[in-house]
Parts: sequence; C-alpha cells; structure tokens
Amino acid sequence: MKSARPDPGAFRDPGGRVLVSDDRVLRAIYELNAPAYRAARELGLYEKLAEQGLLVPAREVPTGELGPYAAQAEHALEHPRLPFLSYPYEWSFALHRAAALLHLDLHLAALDLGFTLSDATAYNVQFAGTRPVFIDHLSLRPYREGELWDGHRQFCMQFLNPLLLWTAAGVPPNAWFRGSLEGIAPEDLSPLLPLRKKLSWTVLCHVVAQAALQRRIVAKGNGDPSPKKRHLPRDTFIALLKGLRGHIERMRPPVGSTVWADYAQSTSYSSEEVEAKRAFVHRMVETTRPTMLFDLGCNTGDYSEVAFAAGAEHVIGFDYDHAALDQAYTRFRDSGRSFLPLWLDAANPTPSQGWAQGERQGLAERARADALIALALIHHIVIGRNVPLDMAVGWIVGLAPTGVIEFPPKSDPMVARLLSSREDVFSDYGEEAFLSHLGRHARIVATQRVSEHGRLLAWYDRRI
Amino acid sequence: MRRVTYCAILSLPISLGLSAPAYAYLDPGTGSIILQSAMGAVAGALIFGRSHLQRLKEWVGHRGRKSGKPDVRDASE
Repeated sequence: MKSARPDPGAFRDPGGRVLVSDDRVLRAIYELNAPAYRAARELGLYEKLAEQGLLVPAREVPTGELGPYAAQAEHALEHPRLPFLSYPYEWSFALHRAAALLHLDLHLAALDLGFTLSDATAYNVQFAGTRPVFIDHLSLRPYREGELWDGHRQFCMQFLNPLLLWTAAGVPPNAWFRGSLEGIAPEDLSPLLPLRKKLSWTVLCHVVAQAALQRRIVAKGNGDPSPKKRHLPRDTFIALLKGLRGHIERMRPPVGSTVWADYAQSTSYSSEEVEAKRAFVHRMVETTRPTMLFDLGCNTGDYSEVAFAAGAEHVIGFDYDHAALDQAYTRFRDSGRSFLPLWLDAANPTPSQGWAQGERQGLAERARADALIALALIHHIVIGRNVPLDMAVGWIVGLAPTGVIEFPPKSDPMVARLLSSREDVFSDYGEEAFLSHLGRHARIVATQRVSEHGRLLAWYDRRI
Repeated sequence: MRRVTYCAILSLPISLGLSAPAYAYLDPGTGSIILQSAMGAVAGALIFGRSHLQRLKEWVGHRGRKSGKPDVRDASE
C-alpha cells in the first residue's frame, strides 16, 4: 500500500493507527492493543458485532500490507471504505440521536460478550447512508469486573448534552459543537437548562450532579480521587447504559414549523416546473452516472430521489434547515438508499480544524463528489450572504466536476422576496453574468428554462 | 435493577458547590468518576439492604409457619 497515509483524525490511541489510500482503509495494531485484539479475535467479537450492524466489518491482513508503517505493527486489519466521513456538528437531530443509540447498543452488546469501550467519542460513529455504524475496533477491550465507565463524561459531552441542548433548551448544538470539538461540558450546559427540565432523573444525574461535583472538585483543587479504588458493579453499569438509552430514545426534536421543511408546498413552483427540473436532473445523472453526488440545498430530498432513480449510488444532502434534514432522514431511512443528510451553511462550510488544523477535515478536503446539484441555492449565497456571483459559482463548481446549477433571476418571486427587505446592490446578479462566470470554469453542456419567471438550469462539466 | 439505579441517582447530593476557576491540572473526568462510584455504592447498599429485607421476610415467614398458621401461598400452588 504505497500511497497510504495516516488518517489525520486517528492518532489519539497509541495502540494503533489508521492508514488510508484512495481505495483502502487499513488499521495497524501496535503492541499496546495487541492482547485486546487477540482476545477479540478469539471470541469472534468483531464478526458478532458486525453481523448485528453495529460495527464496520474487519478482516485481518498481513502486516506487510501496511507498507512503510508495518515495522511497529503486530497485526493489521482492513475495513471497507465508507462513502463519506461526517462529524457530529454536521448531524441533524435524528442523526445525532441515532448515533447515540448505536453507541449505547454497541456498548451493551459488547458487555454481554465480556468487552467494554475505552472511550465514547462521537467521531467513532459514522454513517453508511442513514445507518449509523461504529468504526473504531481498538476502542473495544476486555471488561474488568467492577470497573468504571471510562467514557461516561465523553458520552455526556458528545451525545447526551448536545441532544439535551436541542430538546431541553430548544437550541441546535451544531455551532457550539463545531467550536468545541470535545463537545458540551455538563458544567456549561447545566446553568442553561430550565428548572423543570432538570427534574428528569437522567438530567439530574448526568448533567446537574456531575456538573456540581466537577465544580466542587475544582473549587477544592482536589483532583485525585484515585479511580483504581472506585467500583461500579456490572449490573449498575448496564442499568446506567439502559437508562440513558431509554431517555435518548424518548427524545423528540423541538416542535414548530421551520422555514424550509414545508418549502416545496409554500413556494410558487408549478408542477410543470417541478417536472422539468426532475427531467433535467435525471438526464445529467443518467449520463454521468456518479458514484457520489452532492445535493446542495437538498431540502427534504426530492431531487436526491430523482438522482437515485437515475443511477446515483451515494447522495450526501446538505441543508441549513434541521427540520428539512430530519424529514429527509425519515424519507430515506427505510428506503435502502445510501442518503446522508448533513447540516451545512454554504456561506461558512465546515472548516479543517482540531489538532494541527487537520484532525477534522473541512468540507473541501472531504469532497470527493463525482457530480452535484445546486437547485434554488445560489441566490441565497449571493443575495442572502453578499457573496459575489463569480465567487459563488466558483465555489459550487469546485465541489464536483459536473453538475446542475439553478439560476433564479431577479424577476423570480423568491428572489424578489429576498430583495424586498434590502437595497438591491447586486448589479452583477443576472443570467448573462451567471453563464459567463460558469463558462470560465467549465463547459456548459446544456441549459433549460424551467419557469415562467425565468429560472434557468445549467448543466456544466469541467472535465472536458 | 433500574429502580436501584434511579434510587442511586436520586440519593446523590444535589446541593453541591458553586462555580470556581478551572485548574489545568485537574482531570476533567473527576466528577464523572465520583458520580459513578456514588451510584455503585448506593446501588450496592440498596441491594445489600434488599437482600437482608428478604432474609428478614423469610425468617418471619418461617416463624409464622412454625406457630401453626397455614401458608396460603403454598396451599394455592
């Protein structure tokens, strides 16, 4: 594996490394984790958990496959490559809850087999379509009777507290989580929760009591409770996990209509316009046959569905509206389609950050789309966020070599609505300028006017 | 068991300290460790108490049968 490089987000465990190349994912297991790995192998742990859909499959390969990284390794594993890596601050409510439940289910299944998890980082849960799956095999190690749950605080910070911020305070956690990659601490969340929400047993115990204990320890400066002497009976451990599971399973997203969830019903689109857009998108996808397609501004996934019908294998749907994303999640959850709905502010996409500004990769670094659709999006970037038209076109085209961009002119009612509350300083915003900018980046394969107000679809291809 | 855990949770002191400056050398997981230990200890005490209550009940039941009272439960089975 000559072109393999260490995954920039998998370095915290000194017992192993993950190596990635364009088509393979390998895991080196070092001396520190070798005994735990051998115990798991003897039990068939990975196979049992993978059969239940909880863990990414693994197969042992010769350490020589690791190439220049083979020297330290005692064992090597190969995993199937996931279509896209996402981060918890890109998840909608439904995805975050599904990830939390997966984590608890995996831990309960592992305990049943005599293993436990050494941490509880949400970055170890990834999505294959809408289905969550655990990816870090070396977090699994044999359980020692009476030991504490090492990942308890991390679980609270990265799963429970973000979900509580959503359900108990009505605030999406994404912006906070993105700025605080370790999650939301109980000490920070506790003062923000309304009193009546604190009366829940789960909140009282895992947030209020934990925060109060932590504050008291900090106040006393006594940080050495000697964890080795502490004891948590196995039954209590399991009850703790089940109690959290029950609470999280009962969580519901905050109610209330949002701007976009009922967008398709509230817009001025005629059925002819919708049909014309569907046909155009279908033609582009059918011709280009993308393995990975980005649907920018996916709303509830109408055109992602068209893309699947036309032959797209994986679709990542991006939107700014959580309710729309959750509706898209529900739409595709049981469909068998590989659709992943992610939260994105197009004017401020996910940056590269974390250790050495590379641990968590930005959208551009992870974007390996073969095609994209950006319908009813560009006016929000240009007029809504004051990004010059040429820069907006350049950014969109940079995400995939081919795709369809919709351009709504100023005569369009939706654009007029955007302009109604502000001065029109967008003299460059027009169809001619749009096509000119697009033509500088790519060949324009086809265009089609799809509405009486002048909306235009443009199919570009920058490979030819 | 779940009830035991809930009792453990409810038994935890909730009138704990106020905010203070963070110290860089304190393990941020210390609160979690103490919390889990308290839950383990309380759950353990409740199980201990419950098993002794059960023994007491058995002892009382045994004395009751010895004193000639019919054991309705046994008779109905």
